[in-house]
Amino acid sequence: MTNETDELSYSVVVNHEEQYSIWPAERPVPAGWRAEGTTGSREECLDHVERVWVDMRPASLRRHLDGEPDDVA
Amino acid sequence: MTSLDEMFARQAHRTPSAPAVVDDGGTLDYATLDARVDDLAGALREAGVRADQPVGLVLDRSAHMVAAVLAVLRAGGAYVPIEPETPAARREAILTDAAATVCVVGPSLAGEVRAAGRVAVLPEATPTGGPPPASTPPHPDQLCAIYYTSGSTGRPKGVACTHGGWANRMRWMQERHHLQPGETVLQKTTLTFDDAAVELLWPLLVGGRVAMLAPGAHRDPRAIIDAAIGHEAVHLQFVPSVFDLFLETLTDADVAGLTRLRSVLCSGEALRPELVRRFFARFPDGVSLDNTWGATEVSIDSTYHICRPADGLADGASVPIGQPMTGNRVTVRDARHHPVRGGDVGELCIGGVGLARGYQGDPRRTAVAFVPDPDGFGARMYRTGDRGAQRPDGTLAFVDRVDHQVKIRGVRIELGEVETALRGHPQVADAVVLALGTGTKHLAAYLVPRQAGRCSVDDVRAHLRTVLTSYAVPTHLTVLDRLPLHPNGKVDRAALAALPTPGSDDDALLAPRTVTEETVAEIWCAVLGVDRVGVDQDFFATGGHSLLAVRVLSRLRQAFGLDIPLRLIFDHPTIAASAAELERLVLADLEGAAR
Repeated sequence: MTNETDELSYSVVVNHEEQYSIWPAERPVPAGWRAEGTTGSREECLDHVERVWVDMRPASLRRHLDGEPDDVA
Repeated sequence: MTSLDEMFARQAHRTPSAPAVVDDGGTLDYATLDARVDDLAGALREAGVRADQPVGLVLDRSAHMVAAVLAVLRAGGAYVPIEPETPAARREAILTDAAATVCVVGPSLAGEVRAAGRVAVLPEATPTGGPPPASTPPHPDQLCAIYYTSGSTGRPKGVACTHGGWANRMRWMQERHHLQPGETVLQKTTLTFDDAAVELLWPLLVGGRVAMLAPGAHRDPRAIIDAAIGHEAVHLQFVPSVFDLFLETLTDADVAGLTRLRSVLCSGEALRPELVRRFFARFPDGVSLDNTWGATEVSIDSTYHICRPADGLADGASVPIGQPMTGNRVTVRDARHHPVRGGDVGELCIGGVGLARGYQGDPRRTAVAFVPDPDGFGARMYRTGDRGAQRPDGTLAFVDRVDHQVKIRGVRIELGEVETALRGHPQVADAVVLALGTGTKHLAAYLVPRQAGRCSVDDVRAHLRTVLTSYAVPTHLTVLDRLPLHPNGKVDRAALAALPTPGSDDDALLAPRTVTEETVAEIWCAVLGVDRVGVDQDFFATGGHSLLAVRVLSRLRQAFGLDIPLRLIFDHPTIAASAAELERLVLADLEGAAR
């Protein structure tokens, strides 16, 4: 599906788990998501996602794992 | 929510002396397997494996492999399955993409893995310093496995699967099939297919027994049937193209011998009504047939349809994919994610607890495929790329693909990945790949060389074998001066598909010289659907693939009245070489009888 080409506009969206996605710009953002600020072509939005979504672990898991004792022997 | 390893550990505590896994080496009970898992998990923790960390797993099907899967989970890691026979370059590409610094690997490949700068842990390993440090029980969002599939740009995609999603899939299996303690599931699927995880983990989470089919035997329907009878399997899983061979090979005595068989599951590609018809002719009652549909991105399968005899009589290319499994939500949507109503065709999107985290280390592809799910708060849904429709009764039906992904014997192949690999060869300027044939498809590649007349098909094929999985290597390679184009400049794929198969009009074919060669040639031609094959031509370069090799083999077994090993065609891939080996086998058989 990465070979899709379309001329339409998208927004970068993010949810409470700090997971990113893209969503049609003309549609209301679904509940539980917020527009992150970037709107543009599909490629522009994906370029932005690639820059900002560095740690792909959901936020709640990140918090859980940070609580794990670092028990390197 | 409980993790997969906790579910296994609890079961081991409940039924320590029940048989857990059986292979050629014998049977391990739950307590022994659990202790083995503890040891290897300790060695993996010592090697530096921590929560959420990918660990390469390069082992043949065996009890060791089962212990290794569970040990990676117990150490907190996620296993990355790779077949030992995978070309070294591809293996390295996957391990590098997954950032797997530790590998569980047999002695024969351990040196190679270490030379690449990774830590190799043997499956028999035990921790060297005291008791291993305990790891926190995995969180449901933690990774359990990374499964690599074909990617359209040439870079494979690693699907990052989670404990929560897989645990849900295993629980559904038990809700539906109620495996009883001591009952056996045959582990026949190669571990690099996610369906193998169902055969392997589901039984071990509920007290069942896993019987391991011998390495390599998954291609041989005779071996599968014999193992299912011998181990008294109650459940079998197939991709439809292998299910076809299973039904073709099955004798009346086999059906009578499968006394404990209760359920068969088909998944991986569209299930044709004809196969359902043949199944019910063999098993009129007492054995269920489920057609399941889904994607690795959503924990293996997300919908199921319990087949009825009427499905075998229906029109259409495939039987329904049915209704969502517990915890899954399937909607039909247009390109802007609006729901499509009234039975119209749209993209099938899956939401719910089965969703993978995404593609490992690939936020771009993840953001495209995993999008907001308007039916859940802050939830995501996976766009499958499969087009389908909802029938008036609510059941879902698969129609086709939105892109250039095809299934070759159940394996997802992006034609773009094969084209990228072809263009990676120094003699190739451009390439187009098509999937041809009805029912069982094969790949055909069309190449334009950089310099006219300077392109060796054999060289190109050898190159592809080093970088692609075997299923993705095209059966036919055709060299063209230029690609046929539509007036708008796009490649005319229909014109390519209409070209004759390479080699079919070759007058220089070497004819059979002996009676044995003639017999073998007749069988090859019938199975390959061609008029002539040269006795020095390679089976796998003239339209043959592993499933057709099985057909050739079963006909050779009949013609020669011998138990011929499946390796014959793989080790002796020409008519001349196969005939010579068959003559040797016949002589050895006669000598054995005379003794």
